[in-house]
Parts: sequence; structure tokens; C-alpha cells
Amino acid sequence: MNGIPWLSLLLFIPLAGAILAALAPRRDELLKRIGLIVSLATFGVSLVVFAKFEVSNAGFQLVERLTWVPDWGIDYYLGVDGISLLLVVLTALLFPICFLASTGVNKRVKEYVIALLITELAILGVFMALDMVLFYVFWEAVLIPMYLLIGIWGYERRIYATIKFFIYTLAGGLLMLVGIVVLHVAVRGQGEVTFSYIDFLELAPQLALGTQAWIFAALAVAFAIKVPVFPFHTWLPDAHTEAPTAGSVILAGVLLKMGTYGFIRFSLPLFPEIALKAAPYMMAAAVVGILYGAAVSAVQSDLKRLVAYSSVSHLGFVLLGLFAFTLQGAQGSMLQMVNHGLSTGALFLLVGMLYERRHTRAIEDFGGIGSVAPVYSGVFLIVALSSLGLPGLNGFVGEFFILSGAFQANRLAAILGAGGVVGAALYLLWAYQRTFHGPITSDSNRVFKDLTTRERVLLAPLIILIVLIGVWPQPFLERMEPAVSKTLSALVGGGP
Amino acid sequence: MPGTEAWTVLLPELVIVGAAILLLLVDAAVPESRGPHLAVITLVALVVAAVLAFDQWGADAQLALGGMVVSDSFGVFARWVILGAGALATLTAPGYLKPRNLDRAEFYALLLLATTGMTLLAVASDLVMVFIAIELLSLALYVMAGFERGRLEAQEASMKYFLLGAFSSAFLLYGIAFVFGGTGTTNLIRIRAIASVGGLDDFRLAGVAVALLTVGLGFKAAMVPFHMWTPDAYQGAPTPVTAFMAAATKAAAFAALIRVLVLSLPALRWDWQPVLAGITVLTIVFASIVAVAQTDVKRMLAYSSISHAGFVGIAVVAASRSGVAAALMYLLVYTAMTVGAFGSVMLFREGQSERVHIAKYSGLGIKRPAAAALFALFLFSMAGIPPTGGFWAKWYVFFAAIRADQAWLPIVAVAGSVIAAFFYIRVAVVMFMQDPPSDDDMPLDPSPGLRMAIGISALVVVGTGIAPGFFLSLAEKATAFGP
Amino acid sequence: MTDYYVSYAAVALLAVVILLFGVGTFAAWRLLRPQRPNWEKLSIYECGIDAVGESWKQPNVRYYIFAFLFVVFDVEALFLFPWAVTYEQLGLFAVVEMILFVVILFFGLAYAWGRRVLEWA
Repeated sequence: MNGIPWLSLLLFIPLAGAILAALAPRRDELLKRIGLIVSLATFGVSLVVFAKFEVSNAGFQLVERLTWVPDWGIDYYLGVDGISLLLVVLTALLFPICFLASTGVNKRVKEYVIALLITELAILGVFMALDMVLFYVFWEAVLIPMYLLIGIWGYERRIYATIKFFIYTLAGGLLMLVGIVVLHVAVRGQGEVTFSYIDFLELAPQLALGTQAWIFAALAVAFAIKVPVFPFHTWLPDAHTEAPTAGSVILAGVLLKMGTYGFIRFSLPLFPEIALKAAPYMMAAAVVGILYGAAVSAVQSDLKRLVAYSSVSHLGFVLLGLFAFTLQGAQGSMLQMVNHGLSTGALFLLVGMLYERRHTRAIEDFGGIGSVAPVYSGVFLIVALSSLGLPGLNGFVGEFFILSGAFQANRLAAILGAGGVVGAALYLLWAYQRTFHGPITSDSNRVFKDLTTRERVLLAPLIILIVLIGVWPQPFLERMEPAVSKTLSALVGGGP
Repeated sequence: MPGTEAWTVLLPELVIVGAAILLLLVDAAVPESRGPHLAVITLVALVVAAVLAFDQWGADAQLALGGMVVSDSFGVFARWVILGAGALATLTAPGYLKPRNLDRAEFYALLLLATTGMTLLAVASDLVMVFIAIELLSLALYVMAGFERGRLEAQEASMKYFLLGAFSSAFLLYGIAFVFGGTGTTNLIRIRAIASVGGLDDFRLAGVAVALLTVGLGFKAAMVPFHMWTPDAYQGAPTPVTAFMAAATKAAAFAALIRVLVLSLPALRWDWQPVLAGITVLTIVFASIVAVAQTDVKRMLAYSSISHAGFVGIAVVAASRSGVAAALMYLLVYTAMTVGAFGSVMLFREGQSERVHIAKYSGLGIKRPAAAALFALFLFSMAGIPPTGGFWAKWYVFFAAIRADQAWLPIVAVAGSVIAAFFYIRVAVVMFMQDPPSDDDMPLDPSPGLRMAIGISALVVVGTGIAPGFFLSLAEKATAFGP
Repeated sequence: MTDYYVSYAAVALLAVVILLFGVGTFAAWRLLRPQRPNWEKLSIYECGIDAVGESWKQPNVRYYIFAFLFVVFDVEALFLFPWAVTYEQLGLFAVVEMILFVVILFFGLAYAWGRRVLEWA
């Protein structure tokens, strides 16, 4: 470990911020400002990490390693590669935006700020951990602050939603723990005492296939719950809908990516043969998720729930691209993880703004907003188009790569998946039309205020990135490529 | 002098018994004195005993007192856990007893005598000694459970505990008789020697003997289906006694179970492993499910204690060095969590008594955030959420079980944990996510001893969470059994 | 194998015989005696006088306490008997041991004394 430990900084700055907030006096504005500054500082460090990242290096960079429990080979082991880099930056970007969006929070602000910062720390830890026990600890550490965020500051059915979220995710997490321990014990049988991912990369594929299958299954359940893969998705609509705006943004923007990250980081490279065998089923589940999510979204009357179900659909695309095992599919899938974070995060922010003004999320309560709030509806349109994959915006790049990558692996799945694009257009444009177009039917809509400066500031980075990635995805793709192809080469012995 | 070799092994116990007698005499002589001297004497005795016990750490194991007692690191670790539980309970006791006019020497003397029984159980190397120790600790606990003479639940608790306990002692004794019949000795070391050369192969009643022993010891450890006394006893007893019972008895009972089954009867593994595995599965699942239905916090914690016994049971089923180390580590963390949880229950006052109904905890996180946060810490540790000590304890148990090719047990344990998580977080939900009733001031009842006990427990839970390696290696060193 | 179980069989047989004896005699008596109940015959026996009031009276706890203490010290005496017979062979160790035993029990007595348990009234 030489030089400044940038990755640990990414963890310790939010931690320091949380401690600072805990000690600070109970003044709401001060606390929110602390949260904003701390998360901006974290974002700054993540940009430094982005800049320092060597594009052509397929391995882990900025690695830090300290022994934690020597008898067990558990280390404090952090590192980023092309796969985790963008997720780290995305996470660090979304949190300051969340703080800016949290002006509506006025009860127990101290706990709110602390919970958000601890969540940031835990999610960043998940993406950077290279030791599987450390990964597990961070994975579970996300649970408590999220559960508090949904349960205390959420909407009407928040208690039900948060308990469901907690139990579901905990169950998956515990199963993953058993899988990790079995992996460690199986590897120990060959004389290695380690929990390090790098060691597992070498040793895991050599284990007996039966053992590999069990561990794969255990890990897959945990990741499938997170993604979520149909039929483990039932926690998502409630959690996303009942969470406060910041909670929904974090949930959709980064939490779901923990699942897909788990698949590409652990399930695929550690157990390549099993992954190959499981691929058809996973692709099938992905397609089901795409179509089911789109279908259910189309019939939603609650705008936020519509966006929540759209996440199921979009993550189905990501999963489809991953399990196609082609370079294009995987890259599209990785990019789409980022894209979804940006566009769905923006959607939740916009819906949150809608709720703040009108205290309702039912689509039928709206109509004609476009004429009173043109900027708002313009932004909403851009984000909706990005979400459905209009060429020129980021969603198109991701979905294009995914579908063409999937087409090489399984034509039927790709064709059905493409149907999901149509579905997305259906539910998004229809919802947009009902909300923003047409005559103004209700008086309360006439006084709908357009975006304030603060709201414009917090949406701007997302819009910029949506357009930027849409027209110039190169810098993002080229950083991912080496790591992704390295992962895939272990899988198929050399490309599609 | 025959039979007194290395009697210094029992110095800790002698100190404790001496202190108990001293307390009784002092109180008989000067009955109306007030002040914390009773608790102080008790604490000093426990600390001195702990220091004396440390003397035996790391030394070669040796038998003492005619083979009745053994001095080894396992015994030291178990003793420390028990003495720790006793000390923490003593810290919490005056605050609870004084307002109810129950702060008497008898309480502390009984606590010390119960502790003696437990520590003797932890170092016993003869089945007769096991029995004596169990009787000693049980009798003291029966009385302590019913200490609040005025409260009907206390009498019920004590009565139930006594009746069922007497019954299970009979089972234990019968099991000892069978083992004696089969081997001709009650000494655990000699039994192991005889069993390992096949002396028990022709003994048809070996399975029966093992089953009876498991029943007797399983009762004390509160495993399903011998757990019927636990919810009532824990609910009815004065809460310091509950904390003490929950933590220390389990440590002692499992120490005995490990010595009898893992140390002395590994040859009969094919008899007791499946039985114990079945019992642990039942324990974890049943206790977790029933706990979900509880509305009384003490009763819920009682069922949660039962389910934790199941986890320790998994480590025992593993029947390996790691299994024993995992069991010890779990008992250590479990003691801290349990005393912390029951201590938190003692903290929240409602009128003159404790708040026991879960609905009365609503909004506690808003009015008393620090106290509620500590309670939540203990609950989350019990649920096994990292980075608390409870997580590492469970993890180590899983590891030991998987290594011993019993991978199905952790899966069941995971299922139980998920069910259990529900009632743990329900308390947190009630505390943090519900609004407090406006007329309720939620006074706290923090005697200095209670504060210290909760603080120490929290430190242990957090410490084992952040630096598990230290405690894990201690537990592993403690697997140096008797000769 | 049969030798092993023969001893159990003997015990079982004995149990059965005992049972039969008890049940049998009562059964025989029942069958053989005349049944002529009358109020005076069925009433409770109280040394020839009429029974008055409830038959259950709560005894004073001091009887219990004294009985309790009696049992404890009686058992102590019981332990003294074998010791008394063999202490010559065991030597000084036995004397010290027994003194310790008696002293500990004496502390118990002192405690009971100090707690005024030994007072009758």
C-alpha cells in the first residue's frame, strides 16, 4: 500500500461524516449541509480514483490490504477494476444528489443523515471488497440503515415494506454466508486458508462440480433476491414505493446493482462451468422479468410504483446481457447498470418532486402538467426517453449492446427481450402522456410550480450524463472492457 | 493424603463459597444494614475467583481431587464466562432489588452458590461431580427464581422450574447409572478410555444411557423439547436472576455437555450425534417460530435464548476442536448479548415495575435514543448481523459444522435466523418507527451498576464484532481438554 | 445374554407379585364383605368425638422449619457414622476433613440462629 489510500478514504469520509453528524447539534440545516459536503467530498475522491484508473489494466487497481483475522485468512482487502469502477463513481454521484433532494425531510434529521452516510459507506464497501467475508459484512451492513430509512421516513405502508425488504434480503444474505463458508472450507481442504477473492479465482473452479453447484446456488439466491430476478422480486415494489425519495434513488440506483455486480464478480468467474449450465435458465428468468415488469408497469396507477416495476424490467435486461457470455452483452449489461442508475434515479427524483407539490402519486390526479411546468416536463421526457432506450441517449447504447450480445447467444431470448423495449415505450410514454399532456383537469394542477434552482442543480448532472453517455460512451466502455473480457475469457475460454 | 491432590484447582470455588458463608453470617449478625456492601463483597469474590482461575490457563491439563475435577484451559474459559455472567448480574441486582425491598444477603449468597455449582460443572470430570454441581446450581436457582415472594408469576416460575428440574435430574441420574453399569466407573477420563477400546460395544443400553444424559443436561441448557420451564421461569423470575440464569446456566450446561459427549464419549458418536442434531434443529426452528408470537418482551427473550442454545448445540454436534471452540466463543458472546438485553429491559421503567409488553416500547427510540440504540445493538447482535459479535459467533459455528461435514445444520440455522430476525427487528421497529404516546415520559431506571453492566456487555459485543480474531484464538486455545 | 436379563426379570416378577398381592387382597375383601353402609360408619374418625369444621388445617411454618433443620443435621449425623468407624485408618486428613464439614454446617446453624429461626414463638 503506497501513497494515499484512496479507496479507504472513500469509506472513511462517510464514516467521519456520520460521526460528525452524530456529535453535531440538532439543527436540521446544519446536519443536511454536513451530509451534502461529506458526500460531495466522497464524490470528489471517487473522481480522483476514476482519473487514476489505468484504462488498459484488466486487474485490480489501487489495492489495499491489511490482515484482519489472521487465523482465518480474512483481510481488509479493497480494490477496483473496470467492473466496479463505474459503480463506485455512480454511488458517490448519487448520494450528494440525494442530500440535495432531501429538503422535505424535517423529522429526526440527524438520524437521517447518519443513516444515509452509513448506507453510502456500506455500498461502496460492497463494490470495493476483495475479501469475501468483508464483502458479506458490507452487504449486510447495508440492511440496517436502509431498513431505518424506509421505516422511519417512508410513506404510508412503510413498516410493511421495510420488514419485507429486511427479511427477504437477510434470508438471501445468510444463505450467501453459508455458501461463502462452504467455499472456504472446500478450499481449505486443499491446504489454503483464505477468503480472498483473488485466491478463490484460482482455486474455486478446481473444486468438485457438485460443491461448486451448491455454492453457486447459494450465492445465486442471494444475488437473485437483490437484482431482483423473478420470482424473488416481490419485495421491490413495496420497498421502492414506500421509501422516501432518497431511499428510492439509492435502492434503484445502486442497491439493485449489488445483485448484478455479485453475479458478474463472483458467480461467473468463480464457477464458470456451473454458470454456463445455468445460463439458459437465467436468461429465461431475465426475459420473464423484462416482460413481466413491463406488463405490470403498464397497468399501474401509482406513478412511483410504475417506476419501481420498470426497474424489474430494466434489470432483466442487465441480467440478459450478463448471461449471454458475449463481450458485447456483458459490456452492455455493465453500462446499463450505470444507465439505469442514472435514469431511474432521476425518475424517482422527479416523482418525488411531484409528490412534494401535490401529495399524490396517482396518475389520474394529474394531466396537463406540461403546460404549467415546461422545464419539469421536458426533463421528465428526456429521462423517460433514456429509460426506454431512445437512440442518442444512454439507454440505447446499453440496450443495443445487450440485445446484440444476447442475440449471439440465444436468439429467442433476445427477440423476446426486444419486446421489452416496446413495452417500456408503452408504459413510459403512456404515463407521460397522461401526466403531462392534455387539458388541465384539476385546479390544484394549475398552480403546479416548475423546477426550482435547487432541483435543477440536482438533476443537471444526471441529465448531462444521460446525454453524454448516449453520444460518447467511449470513455466508459473502454475502462470496462479489459476487466470484462478477462472475466469472460475464464468463462468461455476466449470470447464469444 | 489421598483425594486431595492439586486441591488448589478448586481455589476459585472455595473463595466463592467462603464469600457466600461470610455474607450470610454478616447478615445474620447485622441484619438491618443498608448500602451496597453485599453486592461489593459478591463482586470482589467473583473477581478474585476469576483471577485465581486464570492461574490454570495454558498449563497442562491435570486431574485433581481423586479424578473428580480437572484443571484445563477449557475449564478456565468456561469459568470466566460464568463468573462474568455472575458479576454482570450482581451489578444489575441492587438497582432492581432495593426498590422492592429485596436487597438481602440471601440473594447474593444464593447467587454465589449457584455460581459455584456452575463453575464446578465446568471443571467436573466425573459424572457424580456433574450431578452434584447440577443439583447445587439448580437448588440455588429455584430459590432465586421465586425470590419476589409477593409476585405470583415468581412463585409459578420457581415451582415450574423446581418440578421440571427435579424430574430432569432424575433422568440424568438414571443415565449416569446406566453409564456406570456399562463401564464400571463414573470418571469421564476412564470412561473415554474404556469406550475407545470398545468396552461399550456390547453394551446394549449405551444408546439409552446417552439419551438420558442428553435429556438431563439438555434440560439445563433449555433445548427443545426440554424447554418448557424456560419461558415461565424467565418471565417470572426477577430480571437480574433471569439474566444470570439465561447466561450462566447455559454456559455451565454446555460445558458439561461437551465434556460428557465430546470429550468422554466420542466413541458413542453414532448414538448421540444424530439425536443431538435433531434436537438442535427442533430447538432453533421451534423456538424462533414461537418467539414470533410473543408480546411479552421477557418471554420473547426467553424463547430467543432457547434458540441460541440450538446454535451452541450445532457446534457440539460438530464434535471437533473447531466445534468446541465455536461453542465457547458463542457462549461468551451470548452471555454479553443476553445480559445486555435483559439489562435493557430492566432499564425501562413503567411506574414501579418494568415495561414488559412490547407495545409499551413504542417510540422509545425517540424519547430515549441512547438506551434504545443499545438495546437495538444487543438485538441485532442476537440476530447475527455484522459487524456485531453475534455475527462472528454464528459464523464460527457454521464453519465448524461445515468442516465436520454437517453442512445441512447451518442451512436450518439460517432458516431459523431469518424467522428470528423478524421478532428482533420488530422490537426495533416499535422503538424507532412508532411514535411515543404523549403522556408517557418513559423514565429510565439506571442504577450505576446497571449502567456498568450494560456498558460492559456492549463493549464485549462490539469488541468481538470488530476484533473477532482475538476472541477466536482464545477459544481455540481453550480446547485443550483434560488429559 | 439371558443371564443379563434374568436379574431384570426377577425384579419385574417381584413387582408383579407385589401388585397382585395388594390388588388381590383388597379385591378379595371387597367381594367377601357385606355392604351395609350407614351414616355413622361413613363419617370421618376423630378419636370417637364428632368431627367439626374442615379437615384441613394449615400447620404453622415453624414445624416445617424445625423439620427441615432436623433433616439437615440428621444427614450430617449420618455422614458422621461411617467416618467414626474408619477414621483411624484415614489419619489426620480425615479429622481435618470432618472438622471442615461440621464447621460449614455450623455456619449454617449460626445463620439460622442469627435469623431468629430457632425461636419457637
